[in-house]
Amino acid sequence: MDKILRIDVGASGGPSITVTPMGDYAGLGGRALTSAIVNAEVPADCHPLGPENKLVIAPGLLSGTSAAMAGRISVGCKSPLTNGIKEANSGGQGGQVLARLGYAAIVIEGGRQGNELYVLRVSKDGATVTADESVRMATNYQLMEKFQPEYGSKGAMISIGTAGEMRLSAASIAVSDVEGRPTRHAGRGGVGAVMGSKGIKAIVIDGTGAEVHRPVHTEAFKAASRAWAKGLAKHPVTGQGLPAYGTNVLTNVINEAGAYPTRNFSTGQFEGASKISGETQAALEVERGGTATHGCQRGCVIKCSGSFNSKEGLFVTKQPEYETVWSHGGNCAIDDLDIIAEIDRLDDDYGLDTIEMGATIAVAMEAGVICFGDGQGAINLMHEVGKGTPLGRILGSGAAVTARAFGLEHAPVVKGQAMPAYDPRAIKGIGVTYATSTMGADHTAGYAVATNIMKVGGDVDPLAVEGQAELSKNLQIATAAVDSTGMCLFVSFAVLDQPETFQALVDLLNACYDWDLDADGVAAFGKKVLSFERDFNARAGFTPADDRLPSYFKREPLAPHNVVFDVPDEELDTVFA
Amino acid sequence: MPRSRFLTLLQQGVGVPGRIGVSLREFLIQDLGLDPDYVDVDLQTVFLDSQPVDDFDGTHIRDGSVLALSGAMPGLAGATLRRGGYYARMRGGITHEDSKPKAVRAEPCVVTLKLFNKPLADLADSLAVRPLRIPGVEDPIWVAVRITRE
Repeated sequence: MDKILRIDVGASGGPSITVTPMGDYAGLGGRALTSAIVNAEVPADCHPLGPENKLVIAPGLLSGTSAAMAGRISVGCKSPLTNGIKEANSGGQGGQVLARLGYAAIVIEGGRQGNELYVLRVSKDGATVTADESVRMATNYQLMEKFQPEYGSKGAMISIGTAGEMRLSAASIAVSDVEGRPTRHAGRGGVGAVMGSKGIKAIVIDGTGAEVHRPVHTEAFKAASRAWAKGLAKHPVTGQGLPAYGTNVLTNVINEAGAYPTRNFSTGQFEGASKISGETQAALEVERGGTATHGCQRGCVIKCSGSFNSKEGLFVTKQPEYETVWSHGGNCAIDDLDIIAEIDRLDDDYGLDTIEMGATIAVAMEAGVICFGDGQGAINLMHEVGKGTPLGRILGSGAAVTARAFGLEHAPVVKGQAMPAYDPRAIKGIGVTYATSTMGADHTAGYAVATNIMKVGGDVDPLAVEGQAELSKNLQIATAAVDSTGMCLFVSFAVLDQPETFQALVDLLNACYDWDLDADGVAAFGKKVLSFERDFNARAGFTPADDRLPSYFKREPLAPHNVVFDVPDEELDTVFA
Repeated sequence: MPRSRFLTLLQQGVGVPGRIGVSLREFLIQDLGLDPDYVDVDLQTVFLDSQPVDDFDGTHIRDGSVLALSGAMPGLAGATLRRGGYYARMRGGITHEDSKPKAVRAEPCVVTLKLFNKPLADLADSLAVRPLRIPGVEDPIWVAVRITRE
């Protein structure tokens, strides 16, 4: 991973291709690299869909190695949803294959000339870009049918569906999984719209001849890799809970806590939770001949995914994740897993962020477009978005735009991006991260990543009432570092609880790059990433007034605990003071 | 009752016999018959009346208590809700704060028990042979559940 592939879609005579060395970006990967390039090369005040914006696709620092769980890929740009910097990351095969071809990043830049659509092909022999009219308004599964013979089982496809092509702000970028299906997505912030604005419909990556990303110190890397895999396997969450039930194991628990946003965040518990829980879903998947335990990429040992079949035993979609089951389920008062799975399939096929779309449909339900609980109505709205009807284009622009279009205050967004599946009134610490993240409302911006072991910010008393800001800051720093490694965030519990597993992660980086990092070094790395992002957002016009939840979260109590978000603005302002 | 129906019922909650005023630890070990190690190691996420519990010994059963048992959960929310977890402060405002009931200690009562994920898998069969109250039955009686094939 020592080169960057740059595609200038505005070059005269059609898109041009150059390969450049890492230069000032050496030593960066994943989120660190996308945010460094966007901060350095994109004018912060540009229009996100204009020629000055760039789309950066970067495997993590450990992607392409033999280390378990290391294949995630980051996508960065200026977001059309938030108007700030964005990093959305994804599982699937794209990160591993791209890294093994030696690319640290693909940068798509410049202003699209005309209306042509292009397919970028990358292989060990280089890259080509060709115009292809046949892909116009193709969905992601249609692209799979067309290109899977090219990328096969060793390669991958990174693509946009119709939503990205229409430059809708809820559009995602799909990354193909182990089976070659477009089921993994860089979902948040409208990154698919930016890819659409560049006219690149698909990136077809031929993995033939790709070689494992070799560490500098092979034996030390092998030893660290063994310790890493052992640590993941022995932990009850990464070794048992996630493999058995997937992330949807959270439904019952978050619902019981009264933190499960229901009917557009109007209450904290959903009466139909047990019908759509991870426990019920896993049993149904197995009963129908699917699986409840499956990895989205090679090298995954947690295997939190699965496959969801129809009543007839035919594949519908990958196992819908917790956020998806919540957004299209409880948040819309839909308690039917078959409906939710069908909508998940449509999200993947049209190329849409499941969180943003579920939140948006719930807003539309509150507005009276359809009723809460109307599953078929929700499916119909998804088709409106995917086909680009006037109503669909409003919905595909996200929850904030939809609320504005229908004259509603209740838009559960921060910096224009919809909140995920945890009500910040019940779990206030997550609300602090929603408010202050550089990314807009994002549950993965401040994940539970080993801040106790890293001791960023020093030791803290976990049961003290004060200090939400300090905890959130430390979590955001640690998460930014992990997002740069290519590691799946689900490693966090093992890293959180087992100091030797955290050390194994540090050892992997040191052996791979001949570094001498310690816990302080990892924290410093995370701080550097956040400094890129905050610098960009400040130049884009963001102020402390943007680091706030919508005011109705401070005013309207959430049942059953009847709590409001009461963390003072002054405390929010201390997160990055 | 088909096993799948019984597992759904356990997620929604069934009535089990309890005693007013006993600690949560006493209830789990003495009344429910759980192994003490299982209680300490595997019950990582516990709610009483929808409020996360940190202390088994300082939390007490009341008539009508709703108790939910879960293993360790993923994600920041999972870490936050975990019993005595490092991030427990992030859910300040909903954490269970106990005030011991004034009723005579050990007076019989009904506790609604919900089981999720690992405890659901581990404890469903043993619960099926204990006296239970099934929600929705107008004249509640203690019943034993006979699990049938699907």
